[in-house]
Amino acid sequence: MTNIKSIIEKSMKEIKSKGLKGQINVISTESKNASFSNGKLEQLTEGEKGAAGIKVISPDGRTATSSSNILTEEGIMQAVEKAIEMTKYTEKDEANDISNDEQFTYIDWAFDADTKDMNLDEVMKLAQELEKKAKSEDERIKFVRGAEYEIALTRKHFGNTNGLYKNALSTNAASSISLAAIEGEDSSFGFDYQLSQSYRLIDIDRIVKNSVEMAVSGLKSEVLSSGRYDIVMSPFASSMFLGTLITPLSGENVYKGKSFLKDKLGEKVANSSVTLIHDPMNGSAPIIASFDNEGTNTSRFNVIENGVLKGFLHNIYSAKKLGAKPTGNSFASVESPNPSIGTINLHFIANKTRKDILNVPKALYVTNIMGMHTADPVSGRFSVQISGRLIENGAFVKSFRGMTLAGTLEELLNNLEYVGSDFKYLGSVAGSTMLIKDLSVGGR
Amino acid sequence: MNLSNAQYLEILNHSLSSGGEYSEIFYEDFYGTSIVYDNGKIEKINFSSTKGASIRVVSAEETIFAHTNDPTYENLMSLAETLRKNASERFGSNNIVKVKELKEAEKRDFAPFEIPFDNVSVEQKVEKVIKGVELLKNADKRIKQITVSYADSSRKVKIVNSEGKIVEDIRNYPRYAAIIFAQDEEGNLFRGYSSDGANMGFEFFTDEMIEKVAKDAVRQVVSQIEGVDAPAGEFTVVLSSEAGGTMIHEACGHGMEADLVLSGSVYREKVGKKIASQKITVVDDGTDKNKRGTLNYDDEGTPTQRTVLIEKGVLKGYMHSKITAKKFGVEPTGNGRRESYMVLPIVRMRNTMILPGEDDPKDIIKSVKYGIFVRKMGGGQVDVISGDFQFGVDEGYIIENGEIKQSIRGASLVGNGLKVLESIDMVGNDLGYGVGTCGKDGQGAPVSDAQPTIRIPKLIVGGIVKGGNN
Repeated sequence: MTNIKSIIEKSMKEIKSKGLKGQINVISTESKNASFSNGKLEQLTEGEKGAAGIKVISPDGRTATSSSNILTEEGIMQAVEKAIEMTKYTEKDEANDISNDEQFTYIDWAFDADTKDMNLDEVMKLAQELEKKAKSEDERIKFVRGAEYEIALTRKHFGNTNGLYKNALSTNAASSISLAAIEGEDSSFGFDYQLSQSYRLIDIDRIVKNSVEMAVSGLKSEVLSSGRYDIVMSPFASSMFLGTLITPLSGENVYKGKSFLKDKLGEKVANSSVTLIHDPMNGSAPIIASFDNEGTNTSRFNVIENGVLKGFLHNIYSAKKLGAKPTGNSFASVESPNPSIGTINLHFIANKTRKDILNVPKALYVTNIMGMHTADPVSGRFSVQISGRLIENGAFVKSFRGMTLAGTLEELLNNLEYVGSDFKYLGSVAGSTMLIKDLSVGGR
Repeated sequence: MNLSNAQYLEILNHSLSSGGEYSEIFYEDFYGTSIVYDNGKIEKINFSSTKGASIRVVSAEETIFAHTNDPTYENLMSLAETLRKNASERFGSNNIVKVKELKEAEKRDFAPFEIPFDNVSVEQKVEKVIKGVELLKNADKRIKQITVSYADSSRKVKIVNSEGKIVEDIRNYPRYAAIIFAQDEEGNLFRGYSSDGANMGFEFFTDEMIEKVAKDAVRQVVSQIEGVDAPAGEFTVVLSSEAGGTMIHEACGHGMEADLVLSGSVYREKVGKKIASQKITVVDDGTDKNKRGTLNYDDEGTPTQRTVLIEKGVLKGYMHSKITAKKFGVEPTGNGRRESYMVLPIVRMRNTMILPGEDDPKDIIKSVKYGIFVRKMGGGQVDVISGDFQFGVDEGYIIENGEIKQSIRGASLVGNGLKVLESIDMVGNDLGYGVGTCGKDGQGAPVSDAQPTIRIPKLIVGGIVKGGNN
C-alpha cells in the first residue's frame, strides 16, 4: 500500500491522456474482531479489506464507474479501462464534474495509535468481558448472541484529474451486544452498540446496562389500545428516525423530485425549536471527515434552522443541478467505493435534558422501532412497529410491544418539541432522547 | 486460485498443525454490472469485480478466521500460519487432524444457465432497461418519474476443506426492478415498486418478465394514488399469493435459523411440538430450480436440500450450518451462507415457503366480512426473541362483504410469528414467489420466498388514528 499515491497519479494520468476527467477513491481497512456467544468464542478474525472506486467523465459529461478490490497497479488500471469503456453507454449531462477544491489540511483527529496497536488477544478479552458482564447483570438474561468487539484502522486516498490528492487515516473501536431475557414463556430482546475513535471511549458497562435494561423491561409487555399518543424516543430509536431523513434531504433526490422536501427550501418544515446540523469535523464524533469522497472539503452547516429548511445535502452533481454549492456530502466506503450522498454526523441541537423530557404526564417511551427502513422518502409516509414503556407522570408504569406508529416524516418534524443532549451515534447520525407530540398509534 | 491439490493440502494441514478439528479454504471470484435509467436517461453504469480467499479453523464451537484479497499460495500459507499461531494459544492439542487426500464433489445443477453475463455486451444490457422504460412511459399519464434498474452478477466459489472435499459452484444473479413515481391532482407523489430475480443467466431477461415487472409497478402506484389512509387496529387479513413471502420469511424463517435458536429464538425447544395450524407446512428449499435462493452447495460445501421446517403444524427441525448442526447433534442442511470471502458463514434461508393448501383463493376473500387484502408486501423485520414482526404493505385493499374494495395506503402489519402460524385458518391452493436480498448480521443473501393465499383472522394493521390524544 506504500505506493498507492503513485498508482493513483498514474491512473489519473491515463484517464487525462484520453481527454477525460476522472476521480478515484482507494479505501482499505485492517481490522481485528472477536465475538462471543453463550460463553463460547464465536469468531476471532484478523483481516484486511480494500477497494478502489473509479469514476470517469467524458468531455460531454457521459459518466461511468467501476470498482475492484485488487489494489495493485494492474488491478486498478484494469478497473480504469472498464470505466472508460462504459462511458459511451450513458448519456450527456454537463452537471457531471470533478472537484477543484485544492486547499486541504491533513487532519488525523480520528486516529489513536493505541487503538491501532491493540492485539487480537486484547480485543478478545474485551469481547469476553462484555459477555460475562451482561450474563451476570440479571439472572433473566439467558442468551447472549454476538458480544462483539472490533478495532479497525482505515486509510482513505482520493485523487482526481485536476491534480487533487487527499488522504486520511483513522481508527475506530466498536462494541455491540444482543441478548435475550427469558422469564417463563415470556422472552424479550435487548441490544446496544457503541462506536468511537478510541477503545478508551468505549464504555462496556453502559452497553451492558442499556441492553439488559431494554431486554428486561420488554418482559411482561402488552399491546395497549389504539389512539393518539405523545411519543418519547430513546436515543437509539430517534437515531433510526433521523437516519430516514437522509434520503429526502439528498440533493439528488430533491432535484429528481423524489423528496417530500423538494419545494420547501426556505420554508418552515419543522417545529420552531428544531435545528438540524451536519457536523463532519466535530472532534467528539466517532467518525470525522475533512473532505468527502469527491474531494470537496467538508464544513459544518445547518440543514434546518429554527424549523426552517436552509439547505440540502449535496454532491457536485446535485449542487450544479440546483444552483447550490457542493456541501461535501458525497461519501464512500470499502463496501461501496464509489460515493453517494450521505452524512457523517447529522444531529439535532439539544434544547432540554433527558430527565426533563421524560417528566411528561403521559407518553409512550419508544426504545425500539422495527421497519423504519420501510418509510417512503417521497411521500414521507411511514408505518412501523414500536416497543417500549408507558410513562405516566414522569414514571415508567408498564411495558408495551407489538404496536404500530404511523404518520409522515413531515408530521414527526412538526411535532418534535424537545431534543435531549444524550447523543447516541448510530452509523452516520446521532440521535438523542426526543419528545414528539400527538402521533397515531395502532394497538388493540 | 488454481493451486494444486498438494498445495491445498499443505495449507489446510499447516492451519491445523497446532490444533483444531476442521479447516476450510473459501475462494471467491465475483463480477457484476449494474445499469440505472433515471431522470430521463441512462444515468449510471457500474462494473465491479472482487477476488479473494479466507481460511477458518474450527475447534469445538470456536472459530478463528483470516482473509486476503490476494489469494496466492504464499499469502494463503501466511494466513494459515496466523491461524496456526492463534490455534496454538486457544486450542492446542496433541491429537492433530491430518488431511491426506482431496476429492472433487459430485456436480449438481439446480441452477442451470445458458448465457453467462460476460458473454453479453453492455449495449444488449442497456436495451433491456430501455424496454422497461418504454412500457412505463406509456402506461399512465400521472407517472412523473421512472427508474429502471438492471443488475447482473456472477459469483464463482471454491471450497476446499479438511474433510477432503473440493466443491466448486457458480451462482448467477440477474435482477430487474422498476420504481415509478406518480402525482395526484393535489401534487402529492406516490411510489410504485416491482422487481424480479433468479439464479440463472442472461436468458432471465425475457420480454415477459420485463412486462410483468412494469405492469405490477403501475398497478401498485395507481392503487396508492386512489387509496385512502389505512385504518389502524385489529382486522382479518388475507395475504395474496402474489404478496410474496415476506411474512413467512420474517415471521417464521428467521426464528428457525439454528444460530438464532441458540440465541433464544421463540422457536427454541419446540421441535416435535405443534406450533402452527394443521393446515401449515413450511419448507426451506435450496434446490428449487433457478430460484434466487437456490444453490447447488452452500458456502461450506454442504449439498443443499429441501428442508421441512413445519409439517402439518408440527415443528420438524431447524436450518443448520456445519457449526450449528454439530451443536444440535444433527446433519447440516446446507444453509451455511456468506456474503463474501471476508465474512464467516452464518445460517441463512434459501427459498422459504408455505406449501399450498386446499382452499380456493376466491372463497378465502368471500369469507371475510370486513378486513384487509394485501396484494403486495414491502420490506419487513423481525425480533426473533419474541417472534414479533413488522412488514410494510405496498399494495392493499379493504375487503367488505367478501369483495375487494377501496385501496389503502400507509399500512403495515405487525404481529407475532407463533401466534399468526397458530391462527391461520384458510390456506389457498395457489403459490406465488417473491425475491429479495435478506439482511442478517450485516450480511446480504439472495433469497426467494413463497406462499399461497392465506387468511389470518386477527392481525394488527398500522394505519392512521384520527382524533384527540389518548
